[in-house]
Amino acid sequence: MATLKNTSSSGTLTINNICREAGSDVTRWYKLNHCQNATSTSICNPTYSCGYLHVRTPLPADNVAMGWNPIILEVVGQHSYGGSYTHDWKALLNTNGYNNGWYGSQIVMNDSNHSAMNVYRSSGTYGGYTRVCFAVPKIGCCCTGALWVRWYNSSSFIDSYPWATAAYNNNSTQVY
Amino acid sequence: MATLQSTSVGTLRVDGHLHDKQTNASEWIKFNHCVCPAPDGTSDCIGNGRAYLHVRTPIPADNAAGGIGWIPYMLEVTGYHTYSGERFHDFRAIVNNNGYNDGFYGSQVRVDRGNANSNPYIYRSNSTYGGYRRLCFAVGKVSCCCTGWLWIKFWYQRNYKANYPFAKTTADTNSAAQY
Repeated sequence: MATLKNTSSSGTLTINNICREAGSDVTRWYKLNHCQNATSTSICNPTYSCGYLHVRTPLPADNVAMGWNPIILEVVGQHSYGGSYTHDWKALLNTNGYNNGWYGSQIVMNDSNHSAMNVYRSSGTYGGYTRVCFAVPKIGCCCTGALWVRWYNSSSFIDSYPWATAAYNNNSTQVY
Repeated sequence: MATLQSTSVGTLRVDGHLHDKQTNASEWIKFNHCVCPAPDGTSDCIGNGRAYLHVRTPIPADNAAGGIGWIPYMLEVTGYHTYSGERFHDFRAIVNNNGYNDGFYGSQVRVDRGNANSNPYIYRSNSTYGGYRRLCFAVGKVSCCCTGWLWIKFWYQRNYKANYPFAKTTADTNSAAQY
């Protein structure tokens, strides 16, 4: 891996994967797709008809990333051709620095056309840590729709573990 | 300094800032709420700090700097103070100078999605710093050194973002100029 100092590009700089910028401590937007089927007809029948998308982010919901040092999670996006659901919200995430307790879904700003988002901590561990997860409503189809996600503080965790998405029939079940 | 041309990379890790000049918007600049001690002896560190944080930015609010008069730009701030976000900031303000007489157009907060205790206020410094009066703003805070960060971005005028050092202090009100 090349390590450069004070590098300047006179033309266009194309980043094909992740960009980590420690100076601002804000992640770049990470794009996700709404389209996802349930894993079983016992969840949604037909499986494409689920009303919620659950996202597992790489951000640890753990004192290793937080612990009395809150993080702002921001999500924007839309689902379906007419934007049946639009997302534009920020949540404040924190863990108790003493006992690693989790402070739940603190939505501090919401300009979405719904209030059905839910932010939670995964019940399982992934790569050794519980991870920040959230759910947003979606239409039960693979209509065009994308989410863009970023967070402020602890930006170095942007590529600390793979992202994952799942479709489910409610926003409160801890799918992960 | 290495200068590259039309470069393509996989993952890019930048220890400092990544400047995207084409946008003419600054990158996010991270800033802390805590002031210990303030010039009047109050201190967030001992819990008797004042209710507002005042930030002096490097951006000239002065036509003499060039490229300021009749060229409005946006100041964007997002952030929080205290562990539970008792103060949450999320605003954009339009900042402008009269190109004829150098008048300053005040606190034009056009988007404010912060909570009720954010109370942003934008003003021009009374004094000059590095030869120019500077863009300043105030936001609400809690009287403690609880965790709290601001992220500041300028849309336009990114070339001035390091023209002079940032500074911060505290006051009882948001509207009385502190610089």
